[in-house]
Amino acid sequence: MTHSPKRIAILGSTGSIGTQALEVIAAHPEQFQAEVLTAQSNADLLIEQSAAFRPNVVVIGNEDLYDKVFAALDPLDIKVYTGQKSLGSVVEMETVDLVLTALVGYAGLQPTIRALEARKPVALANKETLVVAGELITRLAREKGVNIYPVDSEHSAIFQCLVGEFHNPIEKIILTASGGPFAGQKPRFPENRHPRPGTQAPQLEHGRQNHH
Amino acid sequence: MGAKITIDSATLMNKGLEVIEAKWLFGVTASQIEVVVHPQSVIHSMVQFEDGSIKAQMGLPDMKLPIQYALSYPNRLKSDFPRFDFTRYPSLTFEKPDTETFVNLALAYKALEKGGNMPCILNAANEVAVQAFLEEQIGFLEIPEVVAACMAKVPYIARPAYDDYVQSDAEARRLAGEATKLVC
Repeated sequence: MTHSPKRIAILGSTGSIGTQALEVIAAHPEQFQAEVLTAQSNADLLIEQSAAFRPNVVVIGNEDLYDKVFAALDPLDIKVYTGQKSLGSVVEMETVDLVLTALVGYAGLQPTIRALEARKPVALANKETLVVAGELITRLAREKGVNIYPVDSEHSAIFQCLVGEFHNPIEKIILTASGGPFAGQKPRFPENRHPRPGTQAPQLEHGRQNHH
Repeated sequence: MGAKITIDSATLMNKGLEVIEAKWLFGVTASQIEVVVHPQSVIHSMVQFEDGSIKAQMGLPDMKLPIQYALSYPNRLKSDFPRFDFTRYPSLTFEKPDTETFVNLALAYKALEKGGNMPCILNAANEVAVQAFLEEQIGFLEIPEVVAACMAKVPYIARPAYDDYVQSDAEARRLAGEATKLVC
């Protein structure tokens, strides 16, 4: 079982998916190697991750932070680039075997396209890529003959159910939903006012009774 | 971004976006994708085949498993993630999503059936609406109103190229910004 580790470019390494991907890589050093790490603005964590995982190349999106990241990583012999355009270039590197797109928002689209054009398999954790440009992306992947591996739990589940079923048509996909914090509430609940945002949302259940 | 996902889960827009992704990833039509509410989140999704057989993928919710599988496919690697114990979950429950309350899910299906730049408009309008909600400019039930207004107003393009997506996105954001001011 001698084979070289899969070299992975993590776009968005300081986010939730990116940090968990690095945990997976750390747990399987014989299987995976972090070849590229990128972050938009969390320079401190990017530097910390790079010191630990020793990628070949690092991209810091925010150009104002370039000097800081360069000063920290140049002594470690890690190449540092900056700017949105660099994201498109690093995914094409010959030393990248797989690109994990864990960027949030629209920013995930362009580097994913560049990766597919360079015939790199993509592990896709960026929703916008398929929501916005699903047709373009899947057509490109077919043309180039590369796979897109879903990273979120629902699509990974479907993907896993389809292993070994390549020639068998799907009749139906059943996508499960936790239902969110308002699941099971009566229709038109929550009432149309201005609830507290974010993680406090479930508290509305109690707030409603207390208010009237 | 954490707050955005929490709100999208509450409005079911998150699930709507996943329906759109599923269409493209697995080459099915909107009518072949059914959303079922499953509060325990133990079954992560299922596929039904033409003989009626259903395969489900199960486990404790842990993002690291799908991340690892995306990296290791087709292999499965040993992990120390927590294991699922059936006897601790005596009942797994399922129910129909309430699309009357959660209009966003219905809007996502509509965008998917319409195709073209419509999912792009849906996504952009939703981002602006959720942001306005977080800033307490609009109420929870007005989020889908803003999204629906943008889907009606932004010019529809049946076969968009990359630049069309960029333009539709910008136009939807502009209109959604106006709409969030109108509704309050």
